[in-house]
Formats: sequence, structure tokens, C-alpha cells
Amino acid sequence: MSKILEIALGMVTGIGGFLEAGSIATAAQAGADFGYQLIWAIGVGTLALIILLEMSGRLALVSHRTLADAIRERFGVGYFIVPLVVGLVLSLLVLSAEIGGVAFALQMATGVSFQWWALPVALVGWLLLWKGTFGAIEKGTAFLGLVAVSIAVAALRLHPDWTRVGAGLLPTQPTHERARYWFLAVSIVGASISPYLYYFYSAGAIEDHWDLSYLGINRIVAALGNLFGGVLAAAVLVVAVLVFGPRGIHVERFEQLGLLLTPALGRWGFVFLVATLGINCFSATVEIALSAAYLLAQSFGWEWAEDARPSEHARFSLAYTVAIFLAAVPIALGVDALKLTNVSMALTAASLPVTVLPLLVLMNDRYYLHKHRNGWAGNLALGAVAVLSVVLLVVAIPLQFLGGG
Amino acid sequence: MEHEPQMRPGSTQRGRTRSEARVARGVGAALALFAPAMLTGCGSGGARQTLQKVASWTATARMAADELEARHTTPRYTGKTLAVASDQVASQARSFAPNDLPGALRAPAVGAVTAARQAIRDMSRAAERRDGAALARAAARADSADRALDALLAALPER
Repeated sequence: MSKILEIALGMVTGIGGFLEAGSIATAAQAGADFGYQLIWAIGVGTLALIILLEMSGRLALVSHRTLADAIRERFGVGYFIVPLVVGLVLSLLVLSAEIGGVAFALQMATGVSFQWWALPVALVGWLLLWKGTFGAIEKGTAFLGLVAVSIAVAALRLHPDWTRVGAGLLPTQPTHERARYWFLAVSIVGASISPYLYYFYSAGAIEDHWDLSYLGINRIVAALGNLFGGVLAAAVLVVAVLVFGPRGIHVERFEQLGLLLTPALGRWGFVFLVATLGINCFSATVEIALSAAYLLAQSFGWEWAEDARPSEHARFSLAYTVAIFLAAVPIALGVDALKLTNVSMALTAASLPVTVLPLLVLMNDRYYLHKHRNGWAGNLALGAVAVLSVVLLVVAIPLQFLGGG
Repeated sequence: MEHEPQMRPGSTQRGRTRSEARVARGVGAALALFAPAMLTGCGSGGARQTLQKVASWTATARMAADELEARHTTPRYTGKTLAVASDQVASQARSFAPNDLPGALRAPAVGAVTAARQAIRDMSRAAERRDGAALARAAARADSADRALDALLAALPER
């Protein structure tokens, strides 16, 4: 019974991990600009994330090392400095974008400008990290994030053409604005497979004391939880196609998202959208701040555990404190959160090889994984993600200039 | 008389190695490739893109007003969204370069952008005053401007 509960909790957490500022914004932009044509990008991102999470979880529970620990140990500090610096810089950018998402949700609810909410959001997030336990943070925010199911309800109520939705799962050439199309495809994949997700997931496996008996749960949680999240991201795209597409609305600012669900759900649509954006971005804010602290602590060999008192692991606690307040500054200064989100997602996509390629080596290392190493199917799947990550590295930055405006 | 400094085989000026020079040439080529996009602003597509953005914000403003009238959203949210729409359209109108358009479309395009700008500004002011009747009147003008913008966009070739 407790294992079924673990799976259910993992699935719920998957929504919180998947659906955040980046995935909501990029899916809405894609639906408004290109109809159902970019659903395949959500599919690719979801599949890649399932593979990466299952493997980083398996690595953690078999070797009792987080992904960061294992990369540093296997490849040396000389190499590890690359994923460390890249991971920290991107975590700060994505953290800013998430704080921006919460701040915009609060602006929609109150009418008070988003800039004023940045520091209060950071303060509440920090308090939760300071006072809360890992379980409370992970599961509490995830359960509240279930409000995102309202997006799927809205999609059903708008009666999409399911044949065209299904056709969107196959990549097709755009008929207009090619650079924008590919930029959004890259951003969607970047939003789906942010490295913080698998750093956080592998650290969570250690925090939750997962052992070999969790191999099956790890597989189910990684697959079903993210499939659930992916379906909801696709629902955002479908609703944007049907609501913004016919009106000729292109999503350039978070404010426009407040209108996304009202044609399907009326007044409740506005309430649910604000709650979804606020809760899921807040959940991601806390997770990314924690993930940045995990990465730093695991890099320098500091003591780390979210369940311990902050004074016991002072450097770890200082790391998330600095991260969350530093990331709030650009939003407090009025930086355009949606542009920041788009840039962060494209850069995230470009950064993937620095963690994906080492993972491919680690997952075949007998020392870490014993008999639980990757088989041919696992290597084929991770190899495909590695190839995808290299392609993204090459195309993401040029597309940022050509199609990110 | 100045002479070009002699270079040893395998080196370039200032002691750079051949591979460093190759990297520098690569960076130069990349900059040359992307500089036009960087200098013209990301995704700048001239007048057509401006018209598209103005049409999108006009449609956003109309939808915000409709949803407020249906009591689906709050006056605070609508006020803020209309203020943003007004700023965005004003900014697009300032940078609008109608000379990029075919001659016959220039005057109607300027007219449509100006009409959209004024209508959205009035919608924003009406929302600020919580004046529903004035908001509805300005929204009707925005509707006309939006239709004019759509017609212009339909007459322009896709990028």
C-alpha cells in the first residue's frame, strides 16, 4: 500500500516538476503561433525527461551517489567545473523566470505590479526552505499544483479536433516564420528537460533514502509522473490554439495568459489559471533554489540535507538563501519575465550535453551500477537523447537571435 | 618606412598559433553570420511584424474587455492588461516604418496603427476610471482597427 502511495505522490510531483513558467509560456506561444504543429516538441521533451530521470534516479539508488557526485568522482574536478558553472548560471536564470511567473500570477490576482512581488515571493520561498522538510516542500507544493488539471478540463471543453492534435505529434515543416518555429521547438525541449530536474530528482532519491527495492517505483514515477506533466503541457498548447489562434493573439507577455482559460471555464478559468501559474512556478522556485544548493554542496563536499536544521548545514542553507534572493533581483528591477523565460529555456537546451554525455558513460559503469547498468535499449534511448542534446547545443544560440524576438 | 613583421611558419601576428588564428576566424565568421540579426533586433521583420504585433495587442485588448464584461476576469486584471497593451502598441507605433510597405498600403497602415493606438489608450483610461460604457465604445473602435489591420496583413506576403 505504501508503495502505491509513493507512486501516486511521485506522479503528482511530476506535474509540479514539469509544468512551470517555461513549459506554460512556451506551449502557449507555440499554440498561438503555430497551431498544433509543435505538439511533437512536447512529446520529445517528455520522453527525453523520462529517460533522464529514470537513469539519474537509478544511478542514485544503486550507487548512493547523486548525479553531481558521480560526475565529479568519475570525470574529476577539472571536468566537473563545466557542469557546475553551467548548472549554477542556468539555475539562477530559470529561478528568476519562475519567480517572475509567481510575481505575474500575483499581479493578475491583485493588480499590483509584478516587480513589487519579486522579493516577497523570494522571502516566502526561503522561509519554506528554512523551516520546511524535503517531504513537505516536494509533496505539499505538488498537491496544490494539481489545480493544473483544470487546463486539461478546459482543453476537453473546447472540443479540439483530435485528428489534428494527433497529427501534431509528427514533426512537420512550418509554412511561415521558420526561425521562430524552431526557436520555440528548442525552447519547449529546453523547458522540459532542465538539468535542475534531474539534479533535484537524484538528490531527492538520496534524501528519501531510496534503495534497490525502489527500482520499479523509480521507473513508474519517472514515466507516469512526467507523462502526466507532458499531457498538461500539451493541454496548454491545445487551449492556446483554440483561444488565441482564431483571435490572432501572439503571446508576448505573461499578462495575456490570464485570458487563456476563461472562454472554456468562465470566471473559474481565470482563478484556475492564476492558481496554476502561481503554485507551479512557486513549486519550481523552491525546487530550483534547493537544486542549486545541492549542486554547490555536492561539488565542494559540504554537508547537505534539506531535512536537517539550517545551522547544522550552514553552507548548504546559505547557498539556497543567496540563490533565491539573487534570482529575485532582475524581476524586482522589472526585467521582462517572458523574454527571460524564453532565453533561459533556449540556453538550457544548449547546455544539455555537459550532463547528458557523462550520464551515458556513468550508466554503463560497472563500479556505480553493478548489474543495473544500461542494456542496449537504455543505451539506445540515452544515446538518442545525447544526439538530441548535441543538436540543441549547435542550434539553440543562433535560433535565439533569429527567432527569439 | 614600416615593414610588415616577419612571421614564423605556424604562427601569426602577436605570437598566436595557427589553431588560435583558426578559432579567431571561426568566431569572426560566426559574428558576421549573426551580426545582422543581432543588430536589427531579435526577429525584426520590419513593418509586417509591427502590424502583426499591433493586431495581436489590439485583439488582446478586445478580449480583455469582453471577458471583463462577461465578469470572467477582474477590473484590476483588465486595467493592468490594457495598460500593458497600450504601452506595447504605443512602442510599436513609434518604431513603425511604413516605407517598408508597398506604396498603396502605407497610408491605410499608418491610419490603422494610429486608430488602434488611440482606441487601446482610451480603453485603458476607461478601465482605470471603471467606466464600462466608455470601455465598450473604445473596444468597438479597437474592433474596427483590428479588422483593418487583419485586412492589411492579408494583403502582405508572408515572411
